[in-house]
Parts: sequence; C-alpha cells; structure tokens
Amino acid sequence: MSDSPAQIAEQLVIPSHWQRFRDSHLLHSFKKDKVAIVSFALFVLYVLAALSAPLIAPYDPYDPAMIDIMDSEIPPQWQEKADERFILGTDSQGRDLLSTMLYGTRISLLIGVCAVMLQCLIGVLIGLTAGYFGGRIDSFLMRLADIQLSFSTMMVAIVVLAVFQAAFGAELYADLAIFMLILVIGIAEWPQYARTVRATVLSEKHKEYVDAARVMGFKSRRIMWTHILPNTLSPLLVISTVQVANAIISEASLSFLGLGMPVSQP
Amino acid sequence: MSFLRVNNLEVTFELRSGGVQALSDVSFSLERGERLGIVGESGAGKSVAAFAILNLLSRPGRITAGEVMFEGQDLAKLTPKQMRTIRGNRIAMIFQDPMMTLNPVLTVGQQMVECLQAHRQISQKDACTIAIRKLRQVQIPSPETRMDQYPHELSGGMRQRIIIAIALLMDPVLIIADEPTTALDVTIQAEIMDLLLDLCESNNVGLILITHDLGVVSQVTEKAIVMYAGRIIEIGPTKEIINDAQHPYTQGLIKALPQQTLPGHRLNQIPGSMPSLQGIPAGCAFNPRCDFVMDICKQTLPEFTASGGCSVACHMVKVMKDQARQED
Repeated sequence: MSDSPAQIAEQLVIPSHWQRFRDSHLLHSFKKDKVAIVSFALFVLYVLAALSAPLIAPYDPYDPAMIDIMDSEIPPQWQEKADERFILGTDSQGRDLLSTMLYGTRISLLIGVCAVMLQCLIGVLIGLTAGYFGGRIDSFLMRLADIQLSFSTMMVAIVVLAVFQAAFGAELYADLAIFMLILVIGIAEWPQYARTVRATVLSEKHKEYVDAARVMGFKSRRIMWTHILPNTLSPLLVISTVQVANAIISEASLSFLGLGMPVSQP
Repeated sequence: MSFLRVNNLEVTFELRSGGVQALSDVSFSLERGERLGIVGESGAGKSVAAFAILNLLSRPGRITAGEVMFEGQDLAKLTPKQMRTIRGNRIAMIFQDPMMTLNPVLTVGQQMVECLQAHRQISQKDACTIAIRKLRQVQIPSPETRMDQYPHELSGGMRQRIIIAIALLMDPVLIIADEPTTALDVTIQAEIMDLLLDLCESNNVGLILITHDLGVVSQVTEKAIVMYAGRIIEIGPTKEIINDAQHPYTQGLIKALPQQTLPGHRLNQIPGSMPSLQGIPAGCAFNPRCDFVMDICKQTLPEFTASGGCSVACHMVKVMKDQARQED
C-alpha cells in the first residue's frame, strides 16, 4: 500500500500478445492433440490452395482462350487415353479439372464462411436480445425463428434464387450469384444460432456474475455483449463448424440444380 | 439527515396466485462508517432487503411502498440511468458465492478495469494501476500475476478477496455484503471478515452485513436487525441483542448456537420452520413456534416496544414492560 502509483506501474510488465499466446493453455493443449494438428494442417492446406490458386493452377478456368472444346472429357492421368497436360482430366467443356477445383475451393470457402458469419451475426443479435430481455420480445423473436425454421433452407433458396433469376435475367444473376448465395443461405439458417444463443443466455442470465455486473452499475447492453456473450461462445463454435459444411453443401446442391454459381464459373 | 435511511420499505412479488409481501414495513437508518448486521433464517427477506436498497429487484418483485433515502436521494425513485451512477460507485455489493460472482471467461484484470472504465474516464494503464493497488489492499500476493489469471485459477478465499477488491475499486461509501463468508471454510471466513472490518474502518465505509451467523454479527457490527418472515422483529445495538435478546425468536437463535450446548447433547433448535410468505399466520408471524404465545399474538401484529437500546416487536415484551412500569 505504500507503493506510489508510479512504482507500481514500473513493476507492471505487460506481456506482449505473442508471449501471452505462447504461454497459453490453448496452444499447449493443441500441441498435445494429434488429431487437432492434422486437421489444422489439412485446413491450412485447403486455404493455401484456395488462396494461391492463380499461382499453382496450370490453367485459368475463367479465361475462355485457354479452353478448347476438343480437350473435353479427357480422363485423369492414371487411366487410358489420358493427356499429359491435364493431371485430373477435363470436364465436358474442356476445362482442366485440377484448376477448376482449385478455383472452386475459393468460392466454396468464401460462401461457406461468409454465409455462416451472416447467420451468426443475425442469430446472435436476435438470440441475445430475446434471451436477455425475455417476455414479449422473446416470444415475438422466437416465433419469427419458428416461422423461418418451418421453411427448409433448400426451399427458401430455390424460390428466392429462381425468382431473382427470372426477374432480373441470367446475366445480372451471374454477376451477383455469390452474394445472393451468401445472403440466402445466411438468412435461411439464422434460427439455429438464435435458438442456441437464447438457450445459453437463459441459463447464464441467472448466474450471480450477471447480478454482480448489474450491481457494479453496468448498462444492459454492456452486460449482454461483454459478460453474457463470451459465455455462450462454446456452443456457437460447435454449431459453426457444422454450419460451414452445411452451407458449402447447400451451395453445391443449388449449383447442381442450376440455381447456384453460373456454369461459366467453377 | 442520515446517511442511509430506509422508511417503511415494502416489497411485493406479483405472482400468478396473487401478491406476496416479501418485505413489510422495514425501517432502519445507518450513519456513515457504521456497521449494521441483518440476521434471520433463510427466506426471512434479508437478501430482498439488500436488493431493494440498490433498486435491483428483478420482476416480479418491486418496491410497493416506502423510501430508501441515501445521501438525500430516494433510491427507489431514481431513473435507471441515475441509479447506475450510484451502484458500484457509491454503494458496492459483495455476494455470497465467490465461485459464481466473477465472470468465468474474463480475467481478473479485465473485470476490474472494465468496472473502473464504466464509471470514470480513465486510461487502461491508470486503471490497471488502481486495480493492482486495490488487490494489494486486500492482501493478495503478487497482484500483477493475478491480473492476468482467470477466476478458475484461484482459490475460493482468493476470489472472495478479489470480489472485495472490486467492491472497493470506486471507493464506495457503503458496502452491502450478502453472506460474504458462507461459501468459505471457517479459517478463511475469519480472515475475510477481519479484512472487511479493517477496510471499512480505515476507509470510513458503512457496511450492511447480511448473514445468519450471529458470531460474525457480534464480532463485526455495531447495530443489528433480526428479521422474520419479511419483518423486522428486533433492532438495536448488537451487544444488547446478543447479550440480552428480548424477542423469543432472537433468544431461540442464540440458544441454537453450538457454543450454547454441552458436548454430546442435541443442539437446541426452534421447533417448526418459518411460514412461507403466502401463508403468514395472522398476528405475530412467529406465534406458531413461540413458547410464550398468548391469545393476542394470534390476532394483532405486535408494535415496537422500546427495551433498553433495542426496539422489539413482541406482545409479551410489551406486557412485561407495562407490568414493570406499574410496579415502579
């Protein structure tokens, strides 16, 4: 108690973020978990492949000059009648499959991650509000979620995308396809998040630390965002991993139906 | 003008089955630096009283009558925004369970700094400095390291110290401690109580100590309130209440202390249990369990009778006082 503030400040060595990370529990347990390391390596590989597609892909699938219809439907290297130029063969329009996959990974990851971020944003906002304030706001928002949930994602996506295509023409659609997909998948799946967040908030709301925060004179908004939200993160992370995969599958199936990414893009 | 004066406070919980009065006609006052104990069984309304003072009752409970005058303002009538400048800043509260009161996902430092920054315009570094000084005041070893630790890395006693440090952050003038030592083991209890007492004395901070431990009350407080079924039944200087309890319920509480019983004997207990707030008997709420019950106890609510420095709400005490006066 005899120390002056200046002396205390001197003793106070604030560790850098890197140092803190190096000492953290997260890194330590990650290092011990082989499955996690392999999974992380695979994930990094995908991201790197997607990011460096223009550098490593032998062909550019967006460049019509590089596509020759005469090269169409060449089988991959390990089969007969293969062509040395195309390691994994070509598709029906003569595009190199390896390059197409590399470029396609970019779009899939982009749509997957962005759609989930959108879901998460809407879901957390609504779930947190519903759970924290309760009462009528809660009932109203959760009924909205029920309504949204009663339409299957595919149905919403097909209707919206088909109407959009019909109304604005295929050309404009081709330009906006990626945003439309993110938007549609994002909006169709938000109740997943809203429900999970609301359920966790309901159980966290009555814990004493929330009372303590109120006693300290914090505003509701601050209690919601800095005190309750971090405590709901673990279930959120779990559903996020599933949702990214779901979003990618939705995108693929929509594309298969002719309502996703236009054929001219991988 | 008193520092804190609670007048005829009444709290009602609006339930589907009708309104339930959790607190009726509670009045007391506290001077700056004075320490008050509120004693009673579970469900007597002790914690409700604490929350009502801070105007923090959550639905369906609300203050239906009375006022809480604190430094000239009626806390029951302030807007939520005005109330926020008082909570944590002028009046701090310490909760029962140190395991639960700290947010598990924020470090000790983050929680302390956040509290400081919510009430004052202050830089991160200055806030850290103040936080560390407070941690040192509550005798936490190597506070710099603690700042970066999460609550689950600390022991119960340590956490309760941190909670006290957080309560002291804004230099409040009143601390409400709701059973601050119930969740701790006995040796730590004594340490924490000593610490709290020291800090209150040296900073001239008022303390409202809510507990069911009469030993703690007699050690720490100057004034005590005994509550039963939402009402004050005895109020006065702690020494008088402990040494010469007037109300049969208070006497029962004191007799029930383990120290009052010889080894090998059963502890004295007050037979029966407190009535639920929905079924409080007519007259004195304690009458079904009282050894000295009279007819009047079942009909009318007893009024306060002065007895020494205490006020006691009991018909029997009144009758005895009247008799004594006649004999004089």
